[in-house]
Amino acid sequence: MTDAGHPGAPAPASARATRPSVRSATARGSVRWGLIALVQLCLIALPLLERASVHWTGEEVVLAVRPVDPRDLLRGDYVIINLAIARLPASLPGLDRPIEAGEIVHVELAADAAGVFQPVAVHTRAAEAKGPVIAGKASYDRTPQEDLSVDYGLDAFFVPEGEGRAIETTPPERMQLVIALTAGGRSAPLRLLVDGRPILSDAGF
Amino acid sequence: MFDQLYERRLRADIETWIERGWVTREGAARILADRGKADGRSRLPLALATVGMICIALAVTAFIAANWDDISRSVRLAGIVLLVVGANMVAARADALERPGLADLATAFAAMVFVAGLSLVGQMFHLPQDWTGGALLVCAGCLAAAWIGGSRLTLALAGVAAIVWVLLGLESGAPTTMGDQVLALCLVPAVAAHAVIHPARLSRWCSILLAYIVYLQWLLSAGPASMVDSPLFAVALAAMAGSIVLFGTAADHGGIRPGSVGLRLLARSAADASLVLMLCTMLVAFIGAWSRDLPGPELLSPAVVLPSALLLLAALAVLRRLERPQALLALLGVLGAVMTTAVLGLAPDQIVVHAALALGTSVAVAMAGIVMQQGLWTLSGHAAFTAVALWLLSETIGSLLGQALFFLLAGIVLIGMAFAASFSLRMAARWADGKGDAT
Repeated sequence: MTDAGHPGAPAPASARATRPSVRSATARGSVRWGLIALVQLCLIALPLLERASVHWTGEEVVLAVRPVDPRDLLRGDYVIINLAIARLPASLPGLDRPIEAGEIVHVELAADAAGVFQPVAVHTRAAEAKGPVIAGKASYDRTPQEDLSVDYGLDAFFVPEGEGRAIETTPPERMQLVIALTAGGRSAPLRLLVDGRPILSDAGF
Repeated sequence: MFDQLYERRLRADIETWIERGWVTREGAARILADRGKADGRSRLPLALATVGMICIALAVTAFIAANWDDISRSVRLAGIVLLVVGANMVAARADALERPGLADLATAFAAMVFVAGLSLVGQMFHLPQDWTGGALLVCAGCLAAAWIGGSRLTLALAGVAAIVWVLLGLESGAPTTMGDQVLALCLVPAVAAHAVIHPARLSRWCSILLAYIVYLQWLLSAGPASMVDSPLFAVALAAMAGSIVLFGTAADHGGIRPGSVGLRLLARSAADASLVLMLCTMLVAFIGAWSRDLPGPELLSPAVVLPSALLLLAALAVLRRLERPQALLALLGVLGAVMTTAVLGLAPDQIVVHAALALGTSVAVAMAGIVMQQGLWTLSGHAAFTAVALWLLSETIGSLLGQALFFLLAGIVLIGMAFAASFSLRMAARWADGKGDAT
């Protein structure tokens, strides 16, 4: 073995000349891919911040639910939160007009004797409501005579693998969902209750 | 596989060129040595690594889907951050070591980790299943990585995410907002420009597909209410595809400056894809998939007028840039296909006129392919001719004896088309020889 090949020996002139360029290439690469990582982490944080703002600023509201247990290919088991207020009767005030699929509606809620919130009116803007209001998107086109199906974006409660089936078999009348609801109508699930006791909780913030 | 076929063909051709004195022995040796550097076999490890990378990304996703509650959320969030940063640093290291293929692969893997991270955050915090919003976030993250890291594979991921975003928006049935349309329109050049600067077949085809889906989105919002079921839809689609065929052909044959290899490749791919789309639209209209009622006033809808105006501009570009036989045949084929599609809606019961137009168009496209030495044009023209002929035969025959006659005639037509294709190829070779001798 020559000296040039020994770890302790001085590097040949050509190697000394190339080292700074390799170092600068490494530094440039770190900046470029560091920027990529930063952009991607910011994008991951976006939905997280939106959810956090609902948790921090929203008030708690109890809703009746009817869960079923499907499975998400990417995110594992979850319980579909099929809210009782997802289907609004045509007789509800504010539903005397046609509504197109995808239109945002604001559903005014009021607590019944059991403390569970029920829909009392439908508005085009949150400011028109006198009480708490939850925003949702019309699932289908409707005429004034038809019930309205609304998607509130509260459709999934993820559970550890295998637990979804057990929740599905629980009688729906024993279950309720506690949500956080902001003044503008944005919502997020907080707790899934069975007989008033939480079985799933989302208290991450 | 195509590289090896090309190599074999090149070796055979180069012997002929040496014999004719067009290429010296030394020049031929250099050409073959240069081809040897790009041996298709050298891509095998990268192809295997790509499959391996996808498997590992799937493993990460399945691990996330297991929804492990034993680990706290903060640790899981930290894990996502470490995975995203770590995967990107591996890509940075590969780039520093001057391994562009590996850096491309690692950047794409990092993008997949980013997608898995988004899924995990959705699972941990019970986010609603907003596939449309998720697709847009994935598109933004992958597009940023593709541009900053110069990654072709990541660009393909961004293109697929953009396509999914537009399609999900259409599928939801909600009216498309102006903001969504502007954003979709901005995504097309963002994806296509990358495919021009960093040429790759996958990203070129992604950008072409995205452009057509964004066009579909615009058609649905700019056209009348029942646009999809109307022949207007077929006319608007055929006119746009036809204009891209003509613009692409004018650019490719008229000569874009040699520096824009990526642009030239994109123009060629766009023209190829549009040619197939245009003929398919004509054939689908021919077999009657669309309604045959074409209301008069709706012909003046922007969804029809704009692509038609573009088609006329493209026709002028072709007339200015191409030689006479090439230009005339290309125009005959493309304008014929669009006109056939329109006549099918305007005059629904004129089967003889329809058949004559469709068969004439197919022959014109095949002939244009021969004079321009475009194998795809020739093949598509012959395929369209065969499809129209078979459809006409099947429509005119009903009984068992009729079916026997149909299959007999169908067989004869197919064999006839095989002879026609063979003859066309010989003609093309003779035409090329004649042109070569003239120069």
